[in-house]
Amino acid sequence: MNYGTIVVNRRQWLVSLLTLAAASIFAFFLAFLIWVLTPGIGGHKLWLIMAVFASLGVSALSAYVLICQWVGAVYRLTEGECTGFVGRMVLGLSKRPPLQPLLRVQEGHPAWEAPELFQKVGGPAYLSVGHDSVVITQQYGTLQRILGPGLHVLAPFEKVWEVIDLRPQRRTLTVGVMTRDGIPVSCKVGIRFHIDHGGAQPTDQVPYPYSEEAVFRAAMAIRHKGNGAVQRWPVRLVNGTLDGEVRNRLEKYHLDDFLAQSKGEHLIGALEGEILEAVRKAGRGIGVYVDEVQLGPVLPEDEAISRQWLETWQSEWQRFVATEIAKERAEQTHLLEKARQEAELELFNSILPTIEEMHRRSEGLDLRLLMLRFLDTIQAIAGRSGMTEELHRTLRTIVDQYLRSCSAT
Amino acid sequence: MMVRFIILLLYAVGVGLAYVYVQRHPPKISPKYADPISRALKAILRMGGPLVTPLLALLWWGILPVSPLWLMWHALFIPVIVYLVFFLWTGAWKANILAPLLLIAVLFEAVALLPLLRTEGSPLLAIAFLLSMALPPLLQLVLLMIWVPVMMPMPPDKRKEQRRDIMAHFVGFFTSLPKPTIFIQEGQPQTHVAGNPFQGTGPGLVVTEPENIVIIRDSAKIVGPQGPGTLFTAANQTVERVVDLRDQIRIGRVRAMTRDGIEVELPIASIFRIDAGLQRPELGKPWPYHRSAAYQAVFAAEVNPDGKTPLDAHRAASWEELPLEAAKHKLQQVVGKYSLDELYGVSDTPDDPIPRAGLSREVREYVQQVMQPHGIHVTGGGVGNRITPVDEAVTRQRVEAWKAKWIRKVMENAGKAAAAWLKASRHAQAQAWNDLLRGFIEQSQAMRQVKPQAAETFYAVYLLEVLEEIARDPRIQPLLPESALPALKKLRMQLNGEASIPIGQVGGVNIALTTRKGERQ
Repeated sequence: MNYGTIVVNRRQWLVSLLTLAAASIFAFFLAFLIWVLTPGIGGHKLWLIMAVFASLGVSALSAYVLICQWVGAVYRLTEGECTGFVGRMVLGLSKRPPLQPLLRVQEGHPAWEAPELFQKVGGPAYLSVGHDSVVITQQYGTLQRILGPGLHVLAPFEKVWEVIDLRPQRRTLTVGVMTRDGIPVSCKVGIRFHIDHGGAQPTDQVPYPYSEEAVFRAAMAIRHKGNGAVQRWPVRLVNGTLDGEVRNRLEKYHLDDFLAQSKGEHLIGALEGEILEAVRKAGRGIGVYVDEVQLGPVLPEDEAISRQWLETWQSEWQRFVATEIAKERAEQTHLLEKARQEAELELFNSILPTIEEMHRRSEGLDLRLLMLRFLDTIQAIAGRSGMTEELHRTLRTIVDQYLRSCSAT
Repeated sequence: MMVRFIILLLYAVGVGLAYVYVQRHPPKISPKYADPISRALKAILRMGGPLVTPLLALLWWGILPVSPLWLMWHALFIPVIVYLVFFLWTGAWKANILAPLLLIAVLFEAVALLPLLRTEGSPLLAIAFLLSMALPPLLQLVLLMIWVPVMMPMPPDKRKEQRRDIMAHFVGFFTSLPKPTIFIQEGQPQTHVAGNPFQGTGPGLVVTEPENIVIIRDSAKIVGPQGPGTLFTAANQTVERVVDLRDQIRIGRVRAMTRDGIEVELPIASIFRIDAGLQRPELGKPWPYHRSAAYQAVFAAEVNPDGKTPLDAHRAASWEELPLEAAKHKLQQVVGKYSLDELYGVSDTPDDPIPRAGLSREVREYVQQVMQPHGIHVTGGGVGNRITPVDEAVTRQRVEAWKAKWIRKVMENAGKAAAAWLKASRHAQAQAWNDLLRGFIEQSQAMRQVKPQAAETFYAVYLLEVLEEIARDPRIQPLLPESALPALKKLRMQLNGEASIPIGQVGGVNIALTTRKGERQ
């Protein structure tokens, strides 16, 4: 089997040719025998010799038809697919354009319009792999080759087993987590990754370099989920590794750790770095290089949480507003007036009995008694009003002064 | 001459018609039993029919000194003998069935040839006739033997080894009662050629994907795991199970009871594969696995009629369900050791370990240990984070508990606001007292230079003025006794009469009395 040549099965082709040649020689021998042994019958034997040669063609044709029928049934091919396949298996691929059959692989998958033949039997066929993809083939029940961008010849029964997309991949998922205080939260996580370059740098001709080892690892990362569903490398990285790493970290914290704004932001930043490292390490195992991980805000899923948090936030502002209003109100004149009235009333009430007593007895005005009573009241008010030290001292001075003036007279 | 031309023309037309017929009428595969000899004859007709040898034989009429009937007889028997020899070589039929048939055909042919061989000058011509009749089926079979193996998805060396099996499979197809041809696609067996695995002709064919193997059953016996690749099945052999060699992942949810009696639902996953030791798939090599492991895994599958219909009650679950089932059971046990709070790892410090990791490890180690004897290598798995109490009230309560802290903060804020208001009003009240006193103090300070007697009088006058003014306040007046204002007026007049000191000038000092309305007097 020479994959580099256009005729896929050169030996097959030669053996078929030799067989037909041998049969033809044998037919010649028979013709010779008939010719020699029947000298007198002239043209009659010519028809017979022609028929003998024709029977060779009929034999080859019948063999071809029988094989087509068998192949069609075994591989579930249509009549057209059968004849084409058997022809290619016996004679090889045509190298004349258009190169047929051709399977195009690009954007990480085989072309949607690709004939079913490629799924049923595979090669011999041409395979065109786009600059953004790599193909892993299978043949005879084993994984066979890794074919990068370019035109390739698929050997007989060589099929595309897996296509790896070389382009950078981005996925976003919402990870649901239970916080340490048992409250369901969710976090939107973004990730960007690509197949490991293996140290190779992109060039003008090769925008997406890759290492064969990384491609093989990525292909092998496939997991069967049951009921025919599979988890391929991007899904495995995102839904198997990334979400696990995010959960493992977020679950260590309380909801309030994420809600307290400044602390939460710092925490998310730190966790993002940790998760990136962990996912990058896990990604290497499946041939993937992780460029970045973006961790979104952690939000409670329960509406009651959001409402309560809003209420708390509102209360902070309400407190501020209430304080401001209180300050404003306190300065309003009615408060001051009221306080003044109270003070005056108290003053009056405290002196009034003395005045009334004087008035009732009509003994004349005892100024000293009146003043002492007044000053006593003032001092009591001053004590209750929380006066400043200076004011209190001044008041004391006045009382002393007055007492001295009284003693002098 | 014309007759021969017509015969040749008929031969061409016959070949064409046979070709069209064969194309349009492929063998109708039926599992219905047919005896082996009729199957062999059917295959001969299918394969030899398109050669139309009887018409070819008629061209010998007049060349050989025999009747056309005799020629056509040989034209039928010679290919039959060729095909029977070929069938015997392939082994598609048991020798004891075809050998007597072949012997009879050879004897018939030999007896029929005797008169021709006795004819003078004819033996060589007779041999030429026989060879010309044998040539088409021989060439067809040689070409088939070259081309058919190539059509089989096998490596060249294996093709050479199994050439007879391949040809037997090919021939079996044309008997209309072959053994089944099964392709494993996406892990599921797809029957491409239905047949009869017990009475069918030739071997059956099973083609797997690189990641699949099959367990073959031979009647009541198990042959064992086969594949991956292309393999032939013998008589009575059927595909019992398809085994996927890839990594498997199974995800489920488990309900378990915590130590404090709260039912929770936990996500659980198990990752596993058929044990292959340390070997991993490589290019150009078959997918690795231990045959014994595959065998053990498949036959470890359990029959559990719970929750199944009577029809399915006796069906064994797949081996792929075993690890998750084991994990579920263990997890239910392990969860019972923890309270709900412990499961969440309720703690104030993030560095405290979360019990889930330990729980996962414990379950995984158990599953590894239990599955190893079944040939299943458990590579990962664990318990998911989303541990949800079944009763929503539990989560609601947790939310309420969380809310309580914040409600306290709301109330604290409200309290602080009220306190701030109170403080401000107290401050204002104190300020009012201060203002009142300050008025007195300012006046008294101005009096420091005045003579003591004058000061005494002044204080009294000032006091009475203030009191009078207060008493006149319409808001305070109702609160005072009715006699208050007249008494004040009388005292004031009395004092003015005694002291004769004009308010505003005391001892040469200008006194400005400030009423509470701020008017200068």
